[in-house]
Amino acid sequence: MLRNKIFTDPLMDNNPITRQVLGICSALAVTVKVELAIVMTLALTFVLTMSNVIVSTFRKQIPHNVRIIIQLVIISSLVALADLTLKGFMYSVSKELSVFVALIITNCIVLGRADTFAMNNNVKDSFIDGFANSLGYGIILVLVAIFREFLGSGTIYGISLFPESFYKIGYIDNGLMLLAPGAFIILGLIIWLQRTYTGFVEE
Amino acid sequence: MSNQERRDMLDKIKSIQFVMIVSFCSSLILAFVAMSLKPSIDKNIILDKKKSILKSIDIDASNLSDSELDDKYNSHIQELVINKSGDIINDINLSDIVWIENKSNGSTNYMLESDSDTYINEFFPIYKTNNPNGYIIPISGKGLWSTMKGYFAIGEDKNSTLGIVFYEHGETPGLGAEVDKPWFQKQFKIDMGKKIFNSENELVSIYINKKKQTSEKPHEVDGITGATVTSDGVTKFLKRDLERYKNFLIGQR
Repeated sequence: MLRNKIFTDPLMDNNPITRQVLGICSALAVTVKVELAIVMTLALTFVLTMSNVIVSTFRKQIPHNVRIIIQLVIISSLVALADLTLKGFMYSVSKELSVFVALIITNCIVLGRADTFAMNNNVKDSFIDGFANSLGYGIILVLVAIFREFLGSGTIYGISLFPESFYKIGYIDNGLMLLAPGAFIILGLIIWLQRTYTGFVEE
Repeated sequence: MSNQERRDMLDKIKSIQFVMIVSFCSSLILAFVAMSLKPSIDKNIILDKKKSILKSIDIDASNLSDSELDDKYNSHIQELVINKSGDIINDINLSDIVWIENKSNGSTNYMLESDSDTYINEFFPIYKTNNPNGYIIPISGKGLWSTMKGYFAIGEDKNSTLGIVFYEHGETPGLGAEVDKPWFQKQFKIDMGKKIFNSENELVSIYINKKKQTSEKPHEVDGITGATVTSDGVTKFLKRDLERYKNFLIGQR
């Protein structure tokens, strides 16, 4: 596979969220605020890129019959590392993300990439693949979060965008956007737009 | 044993070896990182508790730096220790008391070790606040999934509620975790007129009523739809923990 394609594929044509529909749970849960979405993306980027690199480095040594166990040990160790780091340096953010950092372990994107890509490709390609998939995940996450925070709280990255007078006239933030169904609607719209653009149809 | 069997055997041993090596390495790394980050995590937890204590009396400290937070905490909060019969004990510091979670029901046991004796649940921590004046009582107990820990603030009259916060819980997001949300916590603020004592001066605490429509009732607040166990849990442990402070609350009114 061309290296360029490894990088660009997960961003658009093979995006883990909108095309493969993986990692939806966290995409719904942590997209209430842009800040949370960004921190979550960073955590996933660390886990996914590192797990791809480590798995790919040892791909020839890992015994085939226990490969999933090994991959899971590697992934969960990385997730625990990310969780500890967040608790140590960004306590309030880690509290808001609550269980969802720990749940990166169960994010199908991570295990999926480790088992299908990193086990069969060299370290450099695996690194690019891990990074590009995180980026593809992150773009969608932040996009959803921008809409949800803007419509739901009237802010983006904590900065208030509507003047006070706006609320006095009678504007009310859309509370639905703060709930999971709001994320579903936004995500659905994004998937629809993307599929119209790429012309992809599910078989 | 044939050659084939021997090879299979060897493969199996290799697999086990590999799993063990990987597990050993990863646990080593994790233990090292956990240990080196422990001081800063502990510090963050203490700061977060201070934030929650301030939040329970409606002071927003979320955007303060660490030193500003300490200043604000010290200017508003006085840490006190009371005994079972409700007297304030001046020669014991709150930091002398060790908080131990009772794993079976989530309540906190307060242990104090002096030279000769160990006291359990003889002395309790309480936080006296000024502006707004009142008292803050630590609460903890089981929700549905987890032990919930928080603070409950009452006014100067030792009767009206000032606020409630939870700084640690693992309840379901969107259901039990709603206890974190403003709509739930707002119900405990002073202008809602909720009381913990009834007209006969009995401690009735606050009942988290999931049937809602409680705005007229002084001893009830709206519960959380879909989170019956969490709501009942809070009702139960709030009353239980307030009982410990009953003598103090009734005593010097």
